[in-house]
Amino acid sequence: MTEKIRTIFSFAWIEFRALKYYPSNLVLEIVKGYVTIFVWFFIAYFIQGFSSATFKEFGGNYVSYVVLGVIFFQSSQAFILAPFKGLSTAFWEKRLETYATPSNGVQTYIYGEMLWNFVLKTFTTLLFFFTFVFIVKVDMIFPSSYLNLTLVYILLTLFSFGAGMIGASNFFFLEVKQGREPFTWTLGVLTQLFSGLYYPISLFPKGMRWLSYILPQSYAFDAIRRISINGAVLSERHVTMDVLVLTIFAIGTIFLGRWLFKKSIVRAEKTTGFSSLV
Amino acid sequence: MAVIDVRNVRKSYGKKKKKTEVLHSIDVKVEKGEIFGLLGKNGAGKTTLIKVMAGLLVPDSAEGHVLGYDVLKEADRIRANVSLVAPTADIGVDPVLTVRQNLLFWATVYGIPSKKMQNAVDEVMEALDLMRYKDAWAMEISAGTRQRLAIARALLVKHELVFLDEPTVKLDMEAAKMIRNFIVDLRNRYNITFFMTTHLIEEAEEICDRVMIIDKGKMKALGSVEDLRRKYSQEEEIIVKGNFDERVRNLKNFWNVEIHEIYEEEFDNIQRDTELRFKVENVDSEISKIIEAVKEHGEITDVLTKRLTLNDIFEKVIS
Repeated sequence: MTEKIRTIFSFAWIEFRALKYYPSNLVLEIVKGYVTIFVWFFIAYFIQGFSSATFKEFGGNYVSYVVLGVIFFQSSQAFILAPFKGLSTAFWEKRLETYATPSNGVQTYIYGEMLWNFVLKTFTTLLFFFTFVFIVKVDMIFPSSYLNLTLVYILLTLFSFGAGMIGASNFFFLEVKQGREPFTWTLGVLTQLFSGLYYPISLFPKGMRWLSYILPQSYAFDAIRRISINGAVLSERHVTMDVLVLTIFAIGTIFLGRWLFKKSIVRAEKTTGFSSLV
Repeated sequence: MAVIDVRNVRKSYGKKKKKTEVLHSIDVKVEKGEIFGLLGKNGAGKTTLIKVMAGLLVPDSAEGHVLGYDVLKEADRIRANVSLVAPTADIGVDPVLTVRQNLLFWATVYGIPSKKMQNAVDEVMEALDLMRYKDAWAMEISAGTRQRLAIARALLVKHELVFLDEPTVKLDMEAAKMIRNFIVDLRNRYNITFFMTTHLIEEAEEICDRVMIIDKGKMKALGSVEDLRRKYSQEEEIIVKGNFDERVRNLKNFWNVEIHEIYEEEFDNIQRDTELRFKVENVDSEISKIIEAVKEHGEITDVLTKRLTLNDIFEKVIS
């Protein structure tokens, strides 16, 4: 087990070395993140007056609502895409086959990719969060409920990695080896449309709201906003429900993702293997 | 003891209608400590066979074991216990790490304990003459050095079975020789079994104990180079030139020999020579006997031998 953890850290370290070698990538990544959040910040700022009634549940504050949504959506989306992206990159750089030969295998490599993404994206998420709380001074109650917020963030991360593993398994199941992977792509689109990321779920006709209820991100964004904007605690009914549903989704997707990924490795062995060279 | 003992290996790619069978019922048996060469043209199925043996691909059907693990059911265990060097120098070499960092990274991945890591890395760097590049970035070293680094990576752990897919491709003669010496040395020191593919027939001839020639997924020949020479021996020749009397024709009673008269013009003189072409099974065992016999019939001016190379055998088998 220790050996496996050491290997996971080594794979994460390799990614760190790559970033250290090309530090401009980190700067550009951060700038891109800021640009996306600021775009929504300004849109929200200008329409704030018209929209406050719609956001009664969140103190009538659309700016805080959308900024929080976008910050946490960015990290969640990165976690969802990381396993497939890691697999695809290693495959086309012809590294995957070599990673498959040591006893720790392809899974360890993917966990290393996930660990690295967790470290990097948690750093950028904190950076964005603190920037908007302390510098831009978006209305949020901080740090009164930071432990609750951390819990929701971890659950959202676990769910995202689980979903990412499901998507990565399609690399071998559907033989999607480049570009967009259908599962994570669909999840991303649905999240943007129906999770309440940019606008509240209550805007939808009742017949369409089930789409929001089946998306774990809906619960995560709701809990994050209630904790950060309203200062809600875990024992509050809405937050309790959000955390409970998110926990079920996180555990479910992690187990399903791991299981499917293992199955996909077996399929790879039986079909075309881990390399484009035959 | 056989490290690899598999029979009837079949493997195809693609789905039902577009199925292409790449390996057709191949048997492979490799003994411990053997250097086994796999020869074949591009597309013959060498890489697929090496991947099946290394547990990276599960065959459609097969029976038998690699390192005692079932080739159909325990592919993951097989690949956890073998080393593989793929044919492209960049595979498994991270460009943003130095040569030493690359090996330390792989030592971790291979699960070498921290205390033994430095020694293991130093040993392979010394053996493959990589010490002078230890702090160079992998992206800045030559393709040949990167290939040596890839081999060093695979040899960090002394797995008892190592697969080398064209290990000396892209290397100059000196570097290729170094790799070959290292392979033989490792086999002698640790009794490691090597299963290698190569396009360089001289390489197989130099270091392989046995070779298998495959074509279009089928085994065409198997044995030591000497075995194969013997099998295709009609091709070896001893050519004796000189001035001989008529009785030289009696040699036909003892050997398969063709006799040709050769006329060479030299300073207005026409020189007549006789050329005797002996088809023999083995040049080494016959040459002294033939020379002794021919000497009795005249003066020998020249002796040439046309030895069967593995390349000749390969060409013959494939054609």
